[in-house]
Amino acid sequence: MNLKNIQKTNKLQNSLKKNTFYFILLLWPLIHFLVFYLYVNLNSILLAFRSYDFDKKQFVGFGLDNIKKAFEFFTLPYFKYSIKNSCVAFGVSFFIGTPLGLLFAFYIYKKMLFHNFFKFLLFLPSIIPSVAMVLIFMYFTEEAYPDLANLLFNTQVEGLLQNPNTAFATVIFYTLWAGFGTSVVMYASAMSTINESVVEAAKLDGAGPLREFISITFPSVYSTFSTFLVVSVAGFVTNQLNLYTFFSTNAEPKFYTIGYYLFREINVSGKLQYPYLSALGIVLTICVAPLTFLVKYLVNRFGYGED
Amino acid sequence: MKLEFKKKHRKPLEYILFTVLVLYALSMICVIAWGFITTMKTAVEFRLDRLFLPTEPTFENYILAFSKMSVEVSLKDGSRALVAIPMQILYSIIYAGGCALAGALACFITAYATTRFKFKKVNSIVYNIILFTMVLPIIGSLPSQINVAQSLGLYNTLYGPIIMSAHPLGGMHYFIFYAMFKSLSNTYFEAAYIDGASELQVLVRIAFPLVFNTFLVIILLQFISYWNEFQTPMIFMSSYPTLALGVFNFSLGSDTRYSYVPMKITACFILIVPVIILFACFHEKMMGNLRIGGIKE
Repeated sequence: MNLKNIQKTNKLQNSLKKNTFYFILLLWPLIHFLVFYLYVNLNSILLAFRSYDFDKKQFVGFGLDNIKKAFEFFTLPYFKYSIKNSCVAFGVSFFIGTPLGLLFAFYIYKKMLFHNFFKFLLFLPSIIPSVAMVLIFMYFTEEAYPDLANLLFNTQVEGLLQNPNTAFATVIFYTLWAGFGTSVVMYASAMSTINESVVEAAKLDGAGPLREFISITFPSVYSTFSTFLVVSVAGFVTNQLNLYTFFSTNAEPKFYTIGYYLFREINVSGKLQYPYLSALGIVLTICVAPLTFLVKYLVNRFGYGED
Repeated sequence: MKLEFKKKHRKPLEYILFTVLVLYALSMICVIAWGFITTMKTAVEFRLDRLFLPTEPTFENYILAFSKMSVEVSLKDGSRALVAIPMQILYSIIYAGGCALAGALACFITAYATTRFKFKKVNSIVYNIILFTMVLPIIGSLPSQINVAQSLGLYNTLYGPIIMSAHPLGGMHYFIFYAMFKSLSNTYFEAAYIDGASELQVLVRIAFPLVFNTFLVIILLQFISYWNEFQTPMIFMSSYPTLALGVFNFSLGSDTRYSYVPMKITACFILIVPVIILFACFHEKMMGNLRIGGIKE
């Protein structure tokens, strides 16, 4: 009986130690979540209803002015430019960047000619600091491009970013050109897990590379593709397109994206605009969040399953 | 004996992709090479010839950048100070290293807890919260983040961003550790418990070494990511400018003695070199798949 009691006590003590250790492990993540996620977002909602008092140097009051102003944003030219530019950027990324990224990953996965070199080069812009890459690209388009055009075609042209007709297209081109990096490597890694016997069987049936890509490769990496798609939709509004690095706070309003507008206002206007920007953020979250979950539902419902 | 050389039959898709990749490679190499040769030109030479190789290559821009590329900052007492490149590099190492380590540790510990302990409901809640925060877009919370950081005394400090990044939310790294721990055999841990190891000893001496490669890769990727960004240091630690922020501020500078294009591109290359070195040393781990050791059955 004593032995059984001792064993029972030991088991209880071990269980208590295990439980205590488990909760100690999760204590910091829990505190962090409560403070820096839940409280920050609740504070953001509260800020939306307040205003900044310069004399008291604090946020005071309670009203709906910021919410009204946030809805008025949708009638401003800023919004029309921003939403158009964000849509263009997303469209280019999804309809051009994603297929190209998948095909480049397929090229690397099939170990075609110089695949290691291309893999390194595609990943390089992800490694190089974006501020450095953007600046080098910017100076190239502003300084080298006009001289190149003059040398090759005997024409006098402005820098691509100086010319208002080509500036935004140049920014979009840069986003595509420097944006393959991590996605290509992740797609290629996902493709490397495809069962070789499935590929061999397809080849025996006469499938060429394109048929293999459409019928075997893409379905196998669909979960990676859908993750990237959902994350892209979630970041649709916050994408700055590196506009702050290109132009600092001086981008033309017709080039704005919503992400750039929000970040620019924080830097230019400071605490005075915090309540308005919080209100605008809430309104935009209410618009974009359902869209993100809808896309998530659709890709899971109508896409390729695990089998 | 007749030797036969078989020509590899390439499909049209391969030719098309090869052509596109060659054009991409040429554009990338041209831009970066042009940037590098520009750093070896003086301001005068660059004005005369913006395209081709310098007639007298020089590295004086690099020497000048190290001594002149300072950022003027406001200190907490309201005074102004100049922060030179060596200090910017130190701040970058502290910021990038601290944030990378804090984030990776948070993901590692949370993943370990939610896979190795049988509290199904709590583990499921934690997992789904992290998944939810990854998918749910919260827009415009930066003003509130700044406000909270100021209230907690984390604003404009070196340790503030490190504490704020010590979480498993919003990224893929928790799920990478989660998958790794799920795939580990219990035999590793049971053997340790039988030998009398405590939970802490199992965590530190069994679990951590098993996922060390993954931990290292995540820290490397995060270090590079934090080294490269400048917007968070600009907002949250403006008195402690990192090198990326220094380069950005330098690009906006108006001091005509040093604000010529070759000098500005030189600053970019100074920022690039450390990450290129890291990438050169660890590129296989960073771009490849990882495997773990096995158990003798």
